[in-house]
Formats: sequence, structure tokens, C-alpha cells
Amino acid sequence: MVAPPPTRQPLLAVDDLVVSFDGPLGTYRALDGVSFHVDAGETLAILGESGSGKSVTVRTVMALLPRHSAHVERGTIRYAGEEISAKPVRRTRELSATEIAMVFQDSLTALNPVVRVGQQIAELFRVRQRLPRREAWRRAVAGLDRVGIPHAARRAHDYPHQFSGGMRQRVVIAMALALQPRLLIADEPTTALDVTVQAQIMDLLRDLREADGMAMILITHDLGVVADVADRVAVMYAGTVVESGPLRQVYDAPAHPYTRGLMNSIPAPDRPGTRLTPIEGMPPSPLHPPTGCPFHPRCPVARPNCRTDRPTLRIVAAGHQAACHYAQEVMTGVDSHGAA
Amino acid sequence: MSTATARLEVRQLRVSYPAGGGPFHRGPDIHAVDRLSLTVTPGRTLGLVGESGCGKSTLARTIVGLRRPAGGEIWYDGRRVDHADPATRRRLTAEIQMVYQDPYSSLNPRKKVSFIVTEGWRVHRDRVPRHEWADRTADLLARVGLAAELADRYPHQLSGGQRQRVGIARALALSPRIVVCDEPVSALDVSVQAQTLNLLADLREDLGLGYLFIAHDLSVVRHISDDLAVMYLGRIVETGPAAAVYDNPAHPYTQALISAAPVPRPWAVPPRERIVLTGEVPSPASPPSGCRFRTRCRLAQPRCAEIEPELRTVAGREVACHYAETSLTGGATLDPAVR
Repeated sequence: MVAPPPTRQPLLAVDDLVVSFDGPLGTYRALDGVSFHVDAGETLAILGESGSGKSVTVRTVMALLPRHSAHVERGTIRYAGEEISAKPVRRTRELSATEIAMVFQDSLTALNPVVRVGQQIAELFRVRQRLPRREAWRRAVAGLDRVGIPHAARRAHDYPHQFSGGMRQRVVIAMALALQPRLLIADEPTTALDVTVQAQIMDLLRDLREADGMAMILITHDLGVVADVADRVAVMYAGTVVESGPLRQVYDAPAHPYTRGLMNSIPAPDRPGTRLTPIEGMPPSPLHPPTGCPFHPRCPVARPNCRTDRPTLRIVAAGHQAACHYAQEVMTGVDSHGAA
Repeated sequence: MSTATARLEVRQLRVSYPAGGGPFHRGPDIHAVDRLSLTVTPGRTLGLVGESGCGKSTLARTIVGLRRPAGGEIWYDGRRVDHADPATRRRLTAEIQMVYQDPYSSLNPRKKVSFIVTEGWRVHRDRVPRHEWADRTADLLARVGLAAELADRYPHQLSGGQRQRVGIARALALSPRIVVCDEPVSALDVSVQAQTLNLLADLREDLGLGYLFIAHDLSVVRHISDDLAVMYLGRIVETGPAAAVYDNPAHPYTQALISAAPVPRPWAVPPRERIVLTGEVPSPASPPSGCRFRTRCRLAQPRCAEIEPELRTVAGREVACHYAETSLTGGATLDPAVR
């Protein structure tokens, strides 16, 4: 349907996205100029704390925003070179049904509780690929088997509540991958799971992604999960991307004070008991965003111009961007945790 | 009361739930906590880790008196809590307080902060005279790093981090010696989590509190704990100094748990083999015979199905595994540096 992208053209490119919501206390901007891209076959992690706009970003891409209260004010979304943000929602939904798939945090609400899981997956093949009933069921069972569900042929007859949390997340993944999407968006896919099950699911996602050559956007607040699977990372704060770049570069030499603050906030396993260095204060209310740089009220290196001039993303190293007037300084500054 | 004796001791504790059964018969009881022993000492932190369903929250609720044990003993400051007369029991449990996981649902949304914090004084009427409440509330809020004005706010007007501080202030109102923290930072964002962990560490130093710190995030537990206990299906499988248990785990389950936890900068630490457990935690209604972990254990032998291993001392910690020595050295390829 969509031609394979020529080299150097990102699979998904989001540019200057601005989305506002009508809330009970007034209209506020949930996204305030979000830009990022994902190349074919790579994994991008979008890292941010609650309210930073990670989920709104991907819901905008998937055309899943509430129709009456959300407004896309500005910005473009291109999928394989084609601008999808200008097209009717129906067209985007069609694309997202076949090319882009999504896995949500809560697997219980993602599945229909009164339909057998095999049926829910088979439905996709019947509707999208017009396969006969028997063939669709066979493929559904194969899909469940592929994500590591034991006795898939038998379990396909079970209902969602008969699966454990980890197994149910596998069902959701089987469903997402059924039509062989080129991009998988996983929104906090392991947050509700125990650590050993989380490891199983992340390993599964990594294996499947490699086997299919699929691109992935992983949304998470967990810095460790990011380090586990991502090629690149985009850090969000107050509705905007403040830094993006190759994983190790962003982690070892963060160029935005917020990213550096996050890195310093997490307990270092090799130095137990030492005092943590938190980021002071708390994120701004979207109803009263600060002037200038959104991070300046909490920033340890803020100067007068940070209060008035809003920094935009600019390149600080190859493939590495940060939205900070003093990015160069932050990047070379000696980190209190002594990044290697 | 001396610090030396104001310990919390749990001995062979057993907590049961009735199983489903039918309308005419009762099913066998499920032991959510089974013959579990631990000690919390003022000024120190015992970290308790385990996956959902292992019984750690049931244990916490039993210790603070929200559930009745089915067996075993709970001792505090040299006195038995679980079989004390109601008055003594109330006095003793006032010194054992709890901080809850969810700062959203654990605070009454219809009450102001000033009411929430003074709850304990309303129950224990002899503690703080009414005319001192306002001043003492301001002190408590200052202690947890909140402005005195917040006393007049409702929980929904506060951020998650502020709410958790209110929960901590409430726990401190009766000047406890022991605080049971049930996942106190897991609902908080990373930057706020660090602020809260620093606060808990300060309070431990300043007030000489003893924490039973329950969490599923191993890096957080390692950070704050002096000692660690690992739970699996209602029992402790390994316990000892945090450095020994975390850096050099002996039980195959502890090894798997630690190796599965994602590390923020994996390239900055020595490479380690990831042990991905297969299968899932069996139901506590029908735990496996012998060792409860054997169905998922890579070292399991026929003997493990027959004899349940008890905790025994191996390499400076206690571990419930027949093959702990093998696991520590040869069988465990967890960390090449260990060998």
C-alpha cells in the first residue's frame, strides 16, 4: 500500500506537533512543539515522567485523541513520506490498522472480555485479509504460539480473564503483530508486570522486532527498560522533546539539565546508601506554563535569558539534539555521578 | 525504652485466607504467609522484595494489626503484640506505623491535611492535648518538608510527592519506632522518588526509625536497605546483609530476580548473564511439594520435590536451598566476577 521508504527517509516523522485540550479548568497545551522521528527497523524510546505528554504524542499519531476536547493546533506527522496528519481520521485509522500497531499498558482493557482470544486475533485476518474462517483461526493459533503461549491451539479457546497478566500481554502482542506492522508502538508495555515477567516480555519484543525488521516506539518512564532495548531515546518534559539522540550518548553525556537530573535521581547500584540528587521542585502545571524554557524554574544552570527565550532543539553532536541554551556546557560539565 | 530492645520480631508467622470452596463446604485455607520470621531494628532498614502475590503486603498488614495471624508470634519491645489485651495491644501497635503505596487512595479525599495528620491523636486521646494539635501539625509537616499552609488543603490539591509526604507525616504523628513502608515510592515519578527516598533516609537518622521497606524495584531496595529478605510464595528464601544478598545472591530465585531487573546503564557495570525464568508463580492455594521454587528452578533435583529446604547459613546469609553452595559457585553463572 505504502511504498518502502527510500534510505534516509524516516519511517515516521513528527514535526512541531501542538495539541491542546479543553479541560474543566480551561484550555491547556498537552503538547507544545513535539518533534522526533523513527527510522525503519530501529527502536526509539520516548522517556518521560507522568504528564510529560508521551501518551498524548502517540495517541495523536494513531488518531486516537478524543474528538471533541482535543485539538491539533499545528504540526505534521509523516508516515513513510506521506503526510497523515492532513488526512481524514478514517484514513489514519486504516493505516494504523495495518501498518502501525499499538500495545497498551493495560492488557485487560485492550481485549474484549467476552470473546475467545483466538477469535479476537482471527477476526483481524478475516476483516483485513478476507481469509476464510478456518485459515484465519489457524493463523491466530500460529500467532499465539509465536509469542510463547504454551499449548496455543488449546488456549486460543480461552477468554482473556483465564490468562495471567504476563500471558495476556503476550496475547495483546500477538494481536498487534498479526498483520505484520512496520511500526509497533508500545505504551508502557511492562509497567503493570513483575520484574521477571517484564524481562520475559522485553526479550520477546526484542526477538520479534529483530525477526520482523519492525520499527518500535517504546514509551516508558523506566530508564532501565530504555537501556535494555532502545537504539535512540527522546526525552520529554512538559509537552515537548527536550533531548534526543543515540542511547549511550544521551545516557552518558546528557546535554539537557533535565536529562542529567533524571540520571542523577536514580539509585546507583554500586553506591548504595549515598544521598540521591533529586530534581528540585515539580513539573509545571500545563495550565500555567512557565515563560521561556519550560524547565527553567527547576534548572540548576538557568540564567536570565532562560526565563524569556524558549530554546529549540539544536544539534549538539552527531544525531544528538537538545533544547537548552547551555547544552554544550551541560554536556561537558562534570557529572556528580561521574558518567564513564 | 531503649533502642536495643524496641525491636519488632516476627516468629513463624502464618497468615491464611479461606479458599473459594462451594456453598456447602469450605476449601482448604491458603497460606499467604507461611512460617515466616524476621526482625526489624530501630535505626536500620530491612528491605523485603518479592513479586506480586508472594505475600509481602499481607505480611505488612498483619504486622500493623490490620489482619489477624493464623499462627506464629509478633513481638515488639520484648512484649507479645498479637496476644496482648486490647489496651496493651493498642499502645504497642501505635509504635508500629505504616506508609502506604498509593498516595492517591490512602488519603481520605474529603478531609483536609490537618485532619489526616491528626488521625492518630484522635484514636490515642491521651497522646497530644487538643490545644497543641495546630503547632504539632506544623512541626510534622515541616519534618517531612511541607509548608505549614498545606494543612488547609485537600489531598487533590497536592501533587503525588506531596501526598506521599502527608502519608509519612501521618505515620510519624504517634512517634513510632518502626515504620512499615509498603511500596512507598513506586507510584512516584523518578525525580520525586529521589526526594522521598532522601526524606525517608533523613527520618531514619534523625528519629532512629526502623523500616520494613517493601518494594519490587530492586535498585531502590538496595539503595535504602541494610538487610534484605527475598520472599517467594509466602516464605523467605534468602535473607542477610544487603551487600551479600544483592551483590552475590545464593538462592536461584534471588539470582533470577536480580538479573531480571533492568539496569539504567548496563554498559557501566560488569556484564552479567540474564536468567529469564520460565513459567509463572504457582498458585499459593496449591504450592509445589518440597521446595516451592523447584518448578521454575534451573538447579532443581529430585530431592527438591521431597524435602522442603529450611533457612540455613551459607556464606554470611541465610538461604533456603539444598544447593545454595552449588548455586553460589559452579551452578550459578550469574556473574562471572563472582567465581
